[in-house]
Amino acid sequence: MFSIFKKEFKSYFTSATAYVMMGMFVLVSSIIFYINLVSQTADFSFNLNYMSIILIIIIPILTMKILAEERKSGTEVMLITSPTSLTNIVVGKYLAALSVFLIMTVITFIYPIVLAIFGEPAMSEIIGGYIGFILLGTSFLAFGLFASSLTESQIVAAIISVVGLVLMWLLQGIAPALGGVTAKVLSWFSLFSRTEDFYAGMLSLAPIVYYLSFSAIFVFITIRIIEKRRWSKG
Amino acid sequence: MGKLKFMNKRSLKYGTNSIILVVVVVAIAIVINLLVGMGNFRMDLTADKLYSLSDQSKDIIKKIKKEVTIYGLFDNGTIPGGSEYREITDLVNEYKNLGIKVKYVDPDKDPGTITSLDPQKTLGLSKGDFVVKSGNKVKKLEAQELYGMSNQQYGGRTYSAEPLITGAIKFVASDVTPVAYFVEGHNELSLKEDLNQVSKILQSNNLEVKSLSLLTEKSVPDDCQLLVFASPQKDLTDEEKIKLDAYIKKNGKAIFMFDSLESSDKLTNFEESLNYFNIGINYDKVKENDSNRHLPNDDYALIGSLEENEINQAFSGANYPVFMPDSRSISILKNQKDWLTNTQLITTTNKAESTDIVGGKTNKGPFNLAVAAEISGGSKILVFGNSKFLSDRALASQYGTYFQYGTNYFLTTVVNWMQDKTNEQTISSKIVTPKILTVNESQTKVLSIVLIGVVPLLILGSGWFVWYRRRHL
Repeated sequence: MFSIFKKEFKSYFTSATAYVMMGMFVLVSSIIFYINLVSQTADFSFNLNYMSIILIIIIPILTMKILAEERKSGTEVMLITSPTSLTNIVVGKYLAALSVFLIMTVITFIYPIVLAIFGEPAMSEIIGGYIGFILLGTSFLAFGLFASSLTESQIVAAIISVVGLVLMWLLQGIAPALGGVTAKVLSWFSLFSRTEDFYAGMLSLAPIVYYLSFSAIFVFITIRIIEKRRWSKG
Repeated sequence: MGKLKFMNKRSLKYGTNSIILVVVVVAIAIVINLLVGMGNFRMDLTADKLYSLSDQSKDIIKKIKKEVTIYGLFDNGTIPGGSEYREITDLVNEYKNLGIKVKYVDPDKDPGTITSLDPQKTLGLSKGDFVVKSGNKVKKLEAQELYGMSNQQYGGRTYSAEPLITGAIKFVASDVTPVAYFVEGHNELSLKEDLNQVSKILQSNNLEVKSLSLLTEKSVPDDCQLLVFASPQKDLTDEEKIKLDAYIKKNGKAIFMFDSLESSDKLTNFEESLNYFNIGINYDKVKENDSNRHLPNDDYALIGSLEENEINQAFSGANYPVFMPDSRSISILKNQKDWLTNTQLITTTNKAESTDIVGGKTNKGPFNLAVAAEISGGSKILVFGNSKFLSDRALASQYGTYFQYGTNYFLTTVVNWMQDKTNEQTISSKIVTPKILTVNESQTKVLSIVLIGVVPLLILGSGWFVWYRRRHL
């Protein structure tokens, strides 16, 4: 698994993709942070909120080629017939993407540092917020990985994940309007609504378990999909 | 063809297995999530501990033996995340863990609820309100007042959900509710217009709050547990004085708050009533010359010191500054009486000076800003040389936090000492402090250039460098 992880991780940084994506993410996040500077507030919760929305675009770019490219270039056959287990391959690729996402997140620590220098932010709230943000990213990555396994076109994979993530985002707005049990059920599936507690300074076990199981399920489904293709191809 | 058939069968077999496996894994995950969801494992990371109950609240709730239900008159499934309702419902959940029942009922779908909670329609319940009920006693709480008064000008707010909810629980669960009467008729601060916050915190500590006119009432009502004069500007009439004296001499409890008045009007009748307790009020305005005990640029914005004594001991935050701007001084008269105890509560430093309003004579400190008097086994009075620290305006001001300490001090003395309840737990509002960032214009400019320009360009530049180098390999 480690060799797959290493190879994948390296490939992100030997092409321009990771840099462009991180550069864009930091640029937009800095523009959001500019609001803190002009409105003189050390409250970081709205930054995390908007940074989460940017992930809808960023994560699919990060994950679109993970499996789709392998399939298009024909290397998928080599992968599934290699002595390394399919689980190791998929998890290795997933962890590589996750590491890139974590590096990207670490760069944004620059904002709380600025807040701490010039103000008195509630660091415990920010740390809790970042835990939520990272868990959300972890789930998005798993969904992106799944989307990438469905098609051989990177663009189609990106579109599937963007549409999926946008729908999950909209769910947060639609659910409360419906009310009753429907609202509760839909809210339960909303990835975004669970970040609210983290960003508001509440660290709960339930959303942590939810994000981790969401990620695990989509990584597992991805493995099953490729596995199924292995048997279909004979 | 035969080979294709075989492949399809195998594909179908593994496909079905795959689907079953996925369904099982998803089902396991759902069960785990539901199980975890049933527990309440969480950590409040907010600096102001917004979602946690204080130990005082927990102690109060644990002592309650009656069944109490908190009703939220709305569909809690429709609450958008991050809304103020969410903040309150999260806190209400904490009460649930202590055995208080919590129900959310949408009155649009279940109109009978409002009728059953308020059959006489005296509470004016509407969608969005909270109601606390035990037996026949019901208390309504509006979401907005729970969420607290925000300070538009300076940011931050006073978050009152916990004292109000705990207070309502205490109120509905207790058999007797003592009444605090705020006297009117001498241009005092108005209960409805100036003292909303303090009346709320008194109610939260199971004291019903009412207005009283000594002119129209025959005497102080029998249910009066506390009589409050919040900054009278005019003297009592002789008739009122008789009623007041009759009340306080018969084991009555009263609080007098006199501000420094910019007029020569004497409050002779008040003075006479207070003299019985060895207390005198001075017609002056106190100035503090110790720069550590007043606000910068305002010598009259006093920060009083709490004296160490039994009464102040009850105020757990005795080290907090009690902010009392534009105070008059209060004297303890040199007229020792065996049956009377006078206690200094809040004082200035010995660097303080006071100037008489009439004549302008300067007196040297230290001065008393608050004094207590107790007749052994009977009457108790508190006399403050200031009332500003209690007003809604002060609490919403830039110095709201400091004023809040004074309000909390007031509450503790009233609940504990005045009511002879030394072990009573008091709960006060939480002050949600605004998170301020102090950056000047040039710092904003530099930070913006670095964060919006330099950092992203460095990252993109590294990407371009990698791409360029690989292209020319």
